[in-house]
Amino acid sequence: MKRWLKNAYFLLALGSILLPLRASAMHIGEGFLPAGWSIAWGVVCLPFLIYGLVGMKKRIAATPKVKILLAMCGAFAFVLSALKIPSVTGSCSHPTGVGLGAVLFGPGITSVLGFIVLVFQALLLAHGGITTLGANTFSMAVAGPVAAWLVFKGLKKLKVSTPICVFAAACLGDLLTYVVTSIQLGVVYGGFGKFLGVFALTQIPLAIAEGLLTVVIFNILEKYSPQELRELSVL
Amino acid sequence: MSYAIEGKNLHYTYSDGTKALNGVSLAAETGKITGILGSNGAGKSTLFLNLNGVCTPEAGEVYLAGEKITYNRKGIARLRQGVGIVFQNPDDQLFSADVYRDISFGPVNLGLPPEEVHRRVEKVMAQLDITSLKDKPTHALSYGQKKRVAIAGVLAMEPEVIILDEPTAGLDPQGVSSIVKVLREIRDCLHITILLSTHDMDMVPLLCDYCYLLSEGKVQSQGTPEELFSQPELLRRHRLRLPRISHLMEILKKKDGIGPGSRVCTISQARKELRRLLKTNH
Amino acid sequence: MGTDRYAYSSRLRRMNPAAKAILSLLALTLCLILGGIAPGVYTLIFMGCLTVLWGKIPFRVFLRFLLVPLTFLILGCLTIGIGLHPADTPVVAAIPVGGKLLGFTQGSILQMLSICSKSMGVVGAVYFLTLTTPMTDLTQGLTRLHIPGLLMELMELIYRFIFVLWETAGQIRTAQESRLGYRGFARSLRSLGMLASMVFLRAWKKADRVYCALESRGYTGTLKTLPEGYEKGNLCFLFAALVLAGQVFCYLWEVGIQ
Repeated sequence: MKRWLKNAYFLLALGSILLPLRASAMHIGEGFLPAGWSIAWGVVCLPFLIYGLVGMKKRIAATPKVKILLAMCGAFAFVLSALKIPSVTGSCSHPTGVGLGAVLFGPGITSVLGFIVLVFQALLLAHGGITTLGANTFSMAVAGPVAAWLVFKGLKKLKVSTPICVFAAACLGDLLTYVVTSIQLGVVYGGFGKFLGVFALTQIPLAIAEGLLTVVIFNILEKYSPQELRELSVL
Repeated sequence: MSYAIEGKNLHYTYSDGTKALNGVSLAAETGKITGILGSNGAGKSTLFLNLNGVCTPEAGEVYLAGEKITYNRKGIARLRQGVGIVFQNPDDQLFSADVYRDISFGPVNLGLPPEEVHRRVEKVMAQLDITSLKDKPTHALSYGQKKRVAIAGVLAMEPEVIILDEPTAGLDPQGVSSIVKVLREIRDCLHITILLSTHDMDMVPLLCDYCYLLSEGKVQSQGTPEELFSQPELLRRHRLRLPRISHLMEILKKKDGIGPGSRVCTISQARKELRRLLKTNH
Repeated sequence: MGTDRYAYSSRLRRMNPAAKAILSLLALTLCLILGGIAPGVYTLIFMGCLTVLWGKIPFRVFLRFLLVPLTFLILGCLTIGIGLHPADTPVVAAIPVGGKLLGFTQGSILQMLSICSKSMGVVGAVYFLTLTTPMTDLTQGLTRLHIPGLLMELMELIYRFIFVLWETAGQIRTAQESRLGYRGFARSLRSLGMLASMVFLRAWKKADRVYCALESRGYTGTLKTLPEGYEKGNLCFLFAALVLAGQVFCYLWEVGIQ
């Protein structure tokens, strides 16, 4: 009798994980990481952010208007991440913007803009957190975009068609983000595989959906505003 | 007669090749309100950008208080200091989330000490009756309130000339009256020269002391509102119309042989004329 | 949007943001370092009371905001708590899998509760700051910390532009939904893609006009503005001392009863 009760409690707990919760992108929640790790991840991000800022400064010095354009891109990234993507599993999730950012602006700029977006998400929407800013910045604004960019550039060099490059970049960028987050949680709490498995339920469909979405967006931009895209490669 | 700002024979072409300004000459008399009338796409906004240094004309000169402007850094800074533009869409102009801070942007850029900045911001908020808005975030303001804050931001720089691009577009009737009132106060109490563009023909006689009709990149006609409204066909040819009152008086003259015709453009003028006519008829 | 809407109407809006930030940061730092269940719960309750009673944020609003981080928290905590244990481990709830037990032990449940309360304590401390301080005050305050000026200006601009783009996105979405743009997965995806691209293009064009307007007001590269004066925040330091003392007390008490 007692044993049955124990089983039941467990299954109840398990079920609450598997319920279609409102799946967000992989922000680690506020206060979830110990102080040491919070600071450590922040330090790891610093060189990337500095690199991005220095690059931005140079371009702004050449063309002052670029500052406004960059701010628009940052605001766009925030708004994009607040949209709801329909997921193949039926629940709703939010895009990360990792892939699109990397493909359009490059990893340096995406890291700084991504960092700012994460700050606003933490302060305004309680998505992620201030204490976990370092960890989230590393997974979503550094690792993800860098991976997406490398995939994009790499596939382009192999003469793969652009839509596939964009899809692969966005999808794999998202997947890497989720893997890195699982690692970040795993090193603290043990059981990297546990996290990988649990989050896979929401993150893999999200990665595919966002990959498709990014291809749609890129195609439209390519078709209707090639001039802006050309200007962006200047960015 | 002194002119606060003048443009002589201005030419400007857009990057896609269309000629926006094709030899435009105009002058805004000091301390008066000058109106630029024109339909959409007539070149009004481009003209203004040429008058404050954001765009450099390909040919022609701009004079500020009689001084010719050279388009180097000093000259452009002089222009920006002396000429303020309030753009049509306040969302393009309000860049700060905080009303107080947005208004302080101009004075801070002029290099003024903090006490002076504070003084100007408070003064300008009182003048535009927006002191109650100072704690509000800009995105929480209504369209009319945003317009006032945009004007405040420019007024705080205490320019010699204020240019307003379609100041009453999109406002409700009360909003229009209040902007008209504000602009009249700026002219009468602060003695700032105002240059504005509009195609709200009913507002023109209430506000403008002198008008230019801009169309197809050229000045087609100029004069006081009464002089301009005596040429209804010209207005219609360039996609504009008479004020309703003028139109009424035009029809009365044309079809019924009554009254002096379309040069009457305000309600009070029309009332005077009609009373005069009714008296003489009895 | 989010916390900002309430921050503007909070009673503490005019208080010096630096004082509020110090209180918030001290509370969350010690909560994070101490760990355990009692300090976290104490922090949440204390900072929550400050926010609701002192900051005049409606209790229901505060409660609603507390639910936001709960999604990830529950998911994360449960994932941490579940473990594969040898067959004869004393478990609280588990199912047999293979020859082992998959479930929670007393230790893992305590760990889960500890993480939960620590996290909620930090959340409470952060909410005190974000629900009583508008975003622009926060970003301006950061300049004191010698954060690079470019980063600060970008933050201020991005914050402002977010609302403008949000409105545009909302309008486009309404227009699309009125024309059945979101029925079915494929169609939704395509409509969303169009929405995102349109927002991006409009943002791009708008940047031109905004730059024009800024130039017209003498923009030479820096977006320096002057805020209005702030009220003194001396009470914050008193509350900081109280919350820190309380956290230490709770921690020692919890260690004592173990």
